[in-house]
Amino acid sequence: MSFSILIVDDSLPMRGVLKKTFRAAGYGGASFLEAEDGQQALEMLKGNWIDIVITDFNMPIMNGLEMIQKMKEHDLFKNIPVVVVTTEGSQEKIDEFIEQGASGYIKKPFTPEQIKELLIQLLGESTDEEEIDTAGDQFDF
Amino acid sequence: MKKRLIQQVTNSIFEVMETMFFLTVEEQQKSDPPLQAQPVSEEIKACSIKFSGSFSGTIFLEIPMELLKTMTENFMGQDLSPLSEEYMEGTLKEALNMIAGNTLTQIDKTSYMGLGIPDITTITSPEDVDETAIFNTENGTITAHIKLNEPEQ
Repeated sequence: MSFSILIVDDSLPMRGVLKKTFRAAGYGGASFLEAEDGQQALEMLKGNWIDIVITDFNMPIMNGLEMIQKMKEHDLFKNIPVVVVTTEGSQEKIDEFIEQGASGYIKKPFTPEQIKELLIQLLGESTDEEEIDTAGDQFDF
Repeated sequence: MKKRLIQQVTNSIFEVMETMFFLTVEEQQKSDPPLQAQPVSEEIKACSIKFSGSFSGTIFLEIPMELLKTMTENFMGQDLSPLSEEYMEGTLKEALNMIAGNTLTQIDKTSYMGLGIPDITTITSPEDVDETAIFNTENGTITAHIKLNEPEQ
């Protein structure tokens, strides 16, 4: 089964790095949608089937935490798992993410293994193994 | 606090540059002979990020374009020529974001320090900030500054 993954980050290079990391983690067949902030992500959720949302916290217009809160208020979005990928590392902030409904948390810098472990936990094992590295990407941090 | 903060910025630069950008960096010591001046034509990109919490201030990062190009390609894991300015500025902002986040988490693991959004700025003079650290790499010099705000009365 291929997954549909929504990546929410205001950094263009970071969105690219996350996509590469998902491919390296075995989710090469997933389809990716990208949003630059929480507001844009909510709009995308309305028109697309999304299996999981991967979001930064610190973004202009609407941050990751506000986006999670909005998703939890919406019947169709409240059960979509959300993983926060951010530099914010204080225990207080991590607790707040989880309390507000985040399904998981990954701190930058991250490894493909950390991403894979969390995605398997949330989505199950990927069947996209044959599609790993189809773009010939070298990516192993 | 200023010395502790710039030391932690230094540690975070080592970690982020090596882990995410595959760059070996070496801090320039005050006893080192001064570097040769950068070529006049060399363009340097600068970025700043504000933080607030039990204390507040700004962290600045300055990187020559040539080094930024290498960092962007290392970050993305591929040759991206021709590389757009948007990509390079995005890489600079993300590098500073990670350095600042890492720094503040290490300074205070328990309470939350708010981070702003990184902004592209102009180069800052060391005279205008509290502390400066300079790092050598094979592709150029990285400069980091910190400036703390005065506590409110």
